[in-house]
Amino acid sequence: MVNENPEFQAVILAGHGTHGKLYPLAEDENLPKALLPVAGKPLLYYQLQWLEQAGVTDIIILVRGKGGDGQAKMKIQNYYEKVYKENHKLSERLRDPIVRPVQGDGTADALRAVKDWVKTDFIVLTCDFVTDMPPQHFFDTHRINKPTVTSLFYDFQKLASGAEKVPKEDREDVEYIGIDPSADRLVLTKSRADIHEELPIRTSMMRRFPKTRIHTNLRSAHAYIFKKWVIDFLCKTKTPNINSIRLDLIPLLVECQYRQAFVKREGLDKWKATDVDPLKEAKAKSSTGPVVGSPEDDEIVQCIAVIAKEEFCARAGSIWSYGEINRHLARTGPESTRIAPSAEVSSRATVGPDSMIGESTKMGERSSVKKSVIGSHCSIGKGVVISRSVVMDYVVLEDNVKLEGCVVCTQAKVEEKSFLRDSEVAGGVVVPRESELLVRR
Amino acid sequence: MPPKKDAAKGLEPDEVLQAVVVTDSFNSRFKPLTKDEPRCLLPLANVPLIEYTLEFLAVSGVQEVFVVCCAHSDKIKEYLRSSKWNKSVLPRVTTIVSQELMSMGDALREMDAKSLLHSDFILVSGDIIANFNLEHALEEHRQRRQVDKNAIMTMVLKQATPQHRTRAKGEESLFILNAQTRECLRYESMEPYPLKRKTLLSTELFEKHPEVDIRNDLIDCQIDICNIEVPALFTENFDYQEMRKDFVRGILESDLLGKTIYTHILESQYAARVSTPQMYDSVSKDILCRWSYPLVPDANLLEGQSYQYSSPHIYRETNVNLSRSARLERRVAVGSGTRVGDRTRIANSTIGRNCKIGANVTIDGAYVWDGVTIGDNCRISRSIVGSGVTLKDGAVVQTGCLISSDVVIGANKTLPPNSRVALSGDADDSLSDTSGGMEAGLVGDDGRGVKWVEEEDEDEDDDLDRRNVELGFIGHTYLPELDDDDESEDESDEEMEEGADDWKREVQQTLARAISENHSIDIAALELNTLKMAMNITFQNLRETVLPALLQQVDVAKPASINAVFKQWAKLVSRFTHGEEDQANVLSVLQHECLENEDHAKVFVHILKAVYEHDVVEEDVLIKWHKSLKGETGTLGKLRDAATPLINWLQEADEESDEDDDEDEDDE
Repeated sequence: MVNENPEFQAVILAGHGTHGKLYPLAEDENLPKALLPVAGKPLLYYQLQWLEQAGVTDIIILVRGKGGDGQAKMKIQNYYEKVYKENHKLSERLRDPIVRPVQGDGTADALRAVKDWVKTDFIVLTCDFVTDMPPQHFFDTHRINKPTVTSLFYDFQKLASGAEKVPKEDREDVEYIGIDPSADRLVLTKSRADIHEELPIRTSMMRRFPKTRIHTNLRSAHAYIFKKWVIDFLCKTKTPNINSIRLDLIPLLVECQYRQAFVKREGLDKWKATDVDPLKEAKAKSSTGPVVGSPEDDEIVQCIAVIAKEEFCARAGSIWSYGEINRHLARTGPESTRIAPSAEVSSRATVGPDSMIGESTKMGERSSVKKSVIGSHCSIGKGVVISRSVVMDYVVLEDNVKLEGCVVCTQAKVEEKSFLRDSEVAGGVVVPRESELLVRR
Repeated sequence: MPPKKDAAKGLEPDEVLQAVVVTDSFNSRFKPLTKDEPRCLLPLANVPLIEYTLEFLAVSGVQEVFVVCCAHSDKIKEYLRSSKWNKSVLPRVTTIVSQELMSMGDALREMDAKSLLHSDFILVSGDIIANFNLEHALEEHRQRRQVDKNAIMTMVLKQATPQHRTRAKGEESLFILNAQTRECLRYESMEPYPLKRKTLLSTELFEKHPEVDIRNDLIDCQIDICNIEVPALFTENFDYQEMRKDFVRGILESDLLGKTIYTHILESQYAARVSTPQMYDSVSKDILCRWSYPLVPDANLLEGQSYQYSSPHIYRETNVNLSRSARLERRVAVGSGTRVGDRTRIANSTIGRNCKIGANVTIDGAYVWDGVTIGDNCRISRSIVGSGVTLKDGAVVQTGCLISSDVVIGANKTLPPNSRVALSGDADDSLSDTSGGMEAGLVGDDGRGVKWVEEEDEDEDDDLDRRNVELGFIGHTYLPELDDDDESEDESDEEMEEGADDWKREVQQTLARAISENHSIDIAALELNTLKMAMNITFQNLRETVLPALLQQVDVAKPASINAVFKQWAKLVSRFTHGEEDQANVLSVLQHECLENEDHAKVFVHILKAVYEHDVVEEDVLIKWHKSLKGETGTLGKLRDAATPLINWLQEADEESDEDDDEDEDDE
């Protein structure tokens, strides 16, 4: 049975707003970001699983492209049909997700393109979002408070604390997240690029939210549950240049909580009026029920923040974080799947407890793997030393190769005695023997 | 840890805990009530303010209290000598008198010079009402000192919503704290005026502190636990005056000193500071409503008091003579020896001892001190009536009045809201004696008292905004709206426009003040010039703002008013109009203004004539301007045609070098 009136719909953004940070790991023509393997599974798998746990059955996946059957669309559809569906028992209620190419680069632009598809409150995820947080926590917060938007944040420090070093770009990509802890209200979002030397704190904000905590250790997980009317509003907004959800739309909504001028200019009250809450309506008609009208009811815009504190949550937005997420999952994954049953690991090779070896991968003697994830069908020679690295599927590593902090993509080949540090090897590339690539970050 | 190591650090448990009470507030918010009486002896719920402060310190285990007095020090000394504190051993109360004190900073420098303080001490002003025990905060402070020798001060703050009534309006402040340690990282004053749309926080701050609390919900009643270094720092930095704006800011912004200041936040206890009449009003209500329990009237803090509590929040001493038909409605305290007449209604008020209240009187929200006589049919609302005041029959006191001791308000006289009445004007004001008769209008012919005019506050801070002071008046409910509302879309544009608006508003306000207060041209020009420098604007900007503002003053129905306005203010415009180019600009500004406003367009020629006659614009410039409009049609053409008679007359006059203006005027 397919649910005709879903509570939530889901939009997964697979490619918009990435700005090539994962080059050369992911390219639309070659390997779409959504299919980048993380601990043996493509990134998309994690969002699909999470949504299934949450009971969201209506999913659309947006890829970048002109329409028709682009490479990315084909590959993602293929993955879903051939791999995901085969390997997982799907709920009967689940519809096959739609994969639709949408032109443009911005995440908000992509959202506008699916206005007609969205019928109800909806969640927006990106395809690089990985978490072990139970989705109920996030969804229930939205159900209880019925805000305009609920957004998820994660502690960046936690991801960074497990790492030996954090690259400058990742460290400096600070977000200033202001939250009123008494009501979990999101009251300020600024990114490093928005401000110069000083962070401006509005007096109107301090009047409305007298106690605000500013976090610089948090990052947006880019998981948002929006009210349905937000997408209608997004298509008609008078504010120019709303291209990105995180950088433009969310700050606008957040400021609408205390800047009446914005609300007035945008006519948000009219948009809000289109949102009907059956419970409230019923209460209003009741002659015996309590008088409705809590102060929150009059608020036109409410933004709520959820922080993943205990649970693991991160975005594979950069090569560094991609590597860290891999290592985290390898470390915390179940023991039984650490070394695939079909893998042939020489008895004289060592595989650390913080590493994973994929299906049918062969590993020669005196090889060692530490803090790394090795894909399926790889061939690893003798005396190969791998640490802090991600090796995707069908990779050949010849004898005495040494990898430190590297990412080696599908079907690449590293010839014998090469030494690579902090490097990325794109798919299909052959690194000649005795090469030395020592990038210093 | 070996005991001798402890001895070197912070306070030893058996060391004497000291406190400094600074009785002066160094401002004149309560004048004229504080003209003859020190602030700390003003009765609050019929108990002098300082009693509450001393009680609070005693409860917190303070062993030695230094009361620093300046204004009316003899009265404070006298009071303490006759009070129960004179006999008290714990705490021992010592008065320190110095006539030279001008600020909190001076008081602390004085303490430093006297070197009476031995270790950590509590610093408060003499107008604190608080029902909690400082022990917990003290303990925190001491423990912090063990770890961090540079933690020199702990500010005790009370959490409350921004609109809370016991938060002093006009004195709000923003505290920026480390969320975990409660270290104060920045202090910003949040006075509503002048309007400030945003506060800028350096990004450096966030690099060191990943979680930062920005709190606008704290009542700062200025209870500080200070280390012995604090007075010394005041001595070193002799320009520090105020505790918050100078000292706290200075310490936090100085990287060199490396000192830190922490906060202790109270959640449920009561703490307030009677810093303004508005706070006097709020705290009185809190006491009557028992929020400050056990500091309530029936605690009978003073010797010989005999208050008894009954519902709904009525407190009566023995020997109150209440007429059978008089009603004490709710939240009322009445002192002994007071007589209340028939059908009189009292609510939300405190009445002192030995008052005589007539029949049919309504008192709501008023604080009537000892020995006041109120005639029949009087009405008093939300005001403070000093001791010995007489209100004759039918007198009405409206919200927010402060009536100083022994004033007499004449029969059937109505005091307008926020009046301040004293027996005589300010001592420094020599005018008050001579103009005394004139001011009698306020209290009536049979009254005694003059309107209190504040002395020119040269000694007050330059940055003190009158409007913030006014927010402290009783019954002042207006909170300035943030017109953050009509900002342009783009953030960068917005900033520019905000800046642009700022100077415009400032210029307009300056001019409005000049007009309403009748400043001389010199003063007005000086002010505008200062603004020009400060705001980095041009003479042209000034002209563009001042001229339309002057036109606003004109009554378009009466062309004569144009002449009157320009007669007075044309010279001001001339001050920043030099040369022909500027004059041409004056004309184009006027032209623009008249295009916008039809009423002004109708009297355009009168305006032109006025600027010509008062030497703002020379005739050549006028004629040249007129020529430049040749061939214009529409509204602009109409304006030109309207000006034609004047131009013709100017040209004729030039040719004939003769004057003939009467005829011209008939033409219009």
